[in-house]
Amino acid sequence: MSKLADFENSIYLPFRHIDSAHYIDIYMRAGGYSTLYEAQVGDNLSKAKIVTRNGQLLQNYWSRMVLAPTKSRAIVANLANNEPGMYVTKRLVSRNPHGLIEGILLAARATGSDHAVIVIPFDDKNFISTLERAIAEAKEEKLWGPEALWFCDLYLVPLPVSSLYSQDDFLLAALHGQRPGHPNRMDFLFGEPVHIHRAEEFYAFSWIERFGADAFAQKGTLSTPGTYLVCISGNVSHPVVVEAPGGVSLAKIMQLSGILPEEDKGQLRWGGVLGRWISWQQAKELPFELTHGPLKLKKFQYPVLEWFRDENVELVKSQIADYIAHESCGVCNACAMADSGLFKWTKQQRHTFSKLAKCSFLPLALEVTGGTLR
Amino acid sequence: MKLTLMINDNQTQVEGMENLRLVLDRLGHVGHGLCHHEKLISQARCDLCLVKVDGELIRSCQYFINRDIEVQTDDQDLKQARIESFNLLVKNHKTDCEKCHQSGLCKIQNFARTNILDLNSKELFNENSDYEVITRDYRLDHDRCTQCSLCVEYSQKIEQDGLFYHSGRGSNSRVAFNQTVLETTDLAVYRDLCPTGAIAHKDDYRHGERGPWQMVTCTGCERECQAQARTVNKQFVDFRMPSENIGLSCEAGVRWWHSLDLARPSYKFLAKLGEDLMAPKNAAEIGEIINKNMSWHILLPGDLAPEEALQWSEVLKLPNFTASYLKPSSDDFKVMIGPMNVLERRHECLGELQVSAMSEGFYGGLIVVEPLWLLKTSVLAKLTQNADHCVVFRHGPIIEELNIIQVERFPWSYSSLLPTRQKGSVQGIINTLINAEN
Repeated sequence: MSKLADFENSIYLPFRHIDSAHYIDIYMRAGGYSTLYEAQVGDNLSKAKIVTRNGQLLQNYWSRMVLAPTKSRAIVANLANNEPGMYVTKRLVSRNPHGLIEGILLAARATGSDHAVIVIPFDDKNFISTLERAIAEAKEEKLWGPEALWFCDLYLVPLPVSSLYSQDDFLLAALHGQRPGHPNRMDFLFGEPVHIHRAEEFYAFSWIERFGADAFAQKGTLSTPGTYLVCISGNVSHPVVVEAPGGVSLAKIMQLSGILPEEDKGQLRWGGVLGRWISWQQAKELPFELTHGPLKLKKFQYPVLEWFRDENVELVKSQIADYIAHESCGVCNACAMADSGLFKWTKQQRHTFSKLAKCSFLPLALEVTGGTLR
Repeated sequence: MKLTLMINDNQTQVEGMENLRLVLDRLGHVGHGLCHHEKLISQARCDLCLVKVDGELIRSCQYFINRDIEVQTDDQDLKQARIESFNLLVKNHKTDCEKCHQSGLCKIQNFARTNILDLNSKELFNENSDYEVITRDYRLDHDRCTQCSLCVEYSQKIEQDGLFYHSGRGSNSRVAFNQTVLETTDLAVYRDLCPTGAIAHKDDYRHGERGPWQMVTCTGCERECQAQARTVNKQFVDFRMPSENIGLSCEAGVRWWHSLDLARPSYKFLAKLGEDLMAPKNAAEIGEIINKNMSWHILLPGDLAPEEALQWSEVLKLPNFTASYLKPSSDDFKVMIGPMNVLERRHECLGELQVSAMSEGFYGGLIVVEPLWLLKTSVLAKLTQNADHCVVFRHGPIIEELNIIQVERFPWSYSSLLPTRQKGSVQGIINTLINAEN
């Protein structure tokens, strides 16, 4: 007897208990892709209140560019997973590639996009082959392509890791075949307005389309509606990904995940390597709010919650300079030389370079490393 | 639209949307930026052209004047900011400035000198630096590259040859090149463009200096091969020819081009051929076969480079030296397709000297300076049959049939013959001959 997807308990992982859900027949039998056959496809999604890029609500993000309705648009799924704590992307997509495709097709319908691009690291052959197979299966089922109900072309674009960024404009430059970073900053993909999302957002899209925007919003608070995937990492016994509703305290998230940091000790880093450092004592009572407050994600930040013991904090901070030197686009000397100089810069130097910075990466790096000695 | 620009309290009028860096250059405010080119919008990589516009720190190369502004080009803050940028720029840069071929032309060096910075030139020159051979003896030295992007931008936007690009990111970022388009690309343009000498010809390293480049087109014959030689200080560096004309090139033409750098010729004794077939090792050995104060007659070819001719003219001022021209005729030379007009042009260098016409048979010593097209062995033998002693300055290999001293006269471009820098000169050879017994 085949199982049905567990939509009641999980927005992002409803197929987690179904074996071989990465095959389209099993996925469809469990309830997948049913949203594509609704009468008003994309209606619920266009009303959705999910927090997406940089703390923006989905509707605000999609309507940030006012363009003629006839203008062709594109949806981009950024599967970059090379940053620390991004393991959620690969795990999610490998287990359930059709959830991603369903979300992409829904988003394409809701925004009127006729192109969808999935960007993936080119060195992960298994990851690519899984997605290729899933895309081919979906085409065979006439979910997209020339015989589909509406026009949307799907492309899988493997990019070298050195061109894959979680940063939107850098990613678009790489898709144009240009070197990411200054001055190749782009808002369009070959002249088309484009909406870029992380992988997990597409899984939420299909749930929202299925159960309505209000049902999603009720799971969180007014300012942070719904639930979100958060990676928990650092000096924890077992790194996990949890699905946390908006408004819940960070202490509660840690408790639910089964990881209990020592009482009032240690430091928390929110947002990845260039994230914000908060002492656990202050952070544990903070509500999980993504649109405002200390947990609002800035550019170059992604939802990762890392807890470190006090004795390890300096070591972790000292590695940030190496990360900056390695992961920046390398166009400005200040970033490219960060591994040798960042922690030795004087206050005056920091001030100068911060003023001369061409993107938000360096000021963020300077902010993160400020007052830290190697 | 005219806009008012106040530069260090001096007022001037400029056109709207002009680049501030170009305006400052035009008005004589020499900046130190090294990543700027008048044909390109700067990538603002070096951060050395910093100025203050209305009190705010900006890069002048990226600023386009769109309103009335007040510009401060020099104050303590600016100097400090430039030095901070400079320190980052040279963090991984080689500091063997005094031994660098770019010395004197390097913009980094200029900045250091102007701002009295210690470049720490104690580092030893290391031939095994981190460089890649691009092609045709051009190198890309990553140790000298400051990633200014000029070559990349010029390649992509002006030349549009797709030759250079950036690879990697962060601290692994470096300039890379595309092998597939190298053959159709003029690399000398990029060599001239590079402000730090990271793109250089191997002759730059060998000469140890880097003067202005000159391009000379061959007018040697009527074939119109349009061969071009690039020279630095009249020394041959690069030879180029349109690919469709390669079939038109002549042997003499190629040899002529190869010897353009004879302005600074080098010589070495090849061999004293005879019983032992050994080259004379020192002046004493030469003295065994050459009498002191004997009279010498020199046969000079018409194709001497001006400076080489000048050296010979100095020799001819000595009392026991006379000279005449070695005139080519179709019987005497292996190859007669030669640059005849060049021959005539170069005669002028010896114009003031009384040079007698060539006559057959010489008594005493004879010095033959071989033309760039090789003399036939029979002609050489004929010329030297009556001479007591004969020294031949020649390009080609040893002529084993002749029992004469042969001095190799080779151009700089024969890199295989030049493992190290040679410092031979005509005067040195003559001094050796005159003072042989001493």
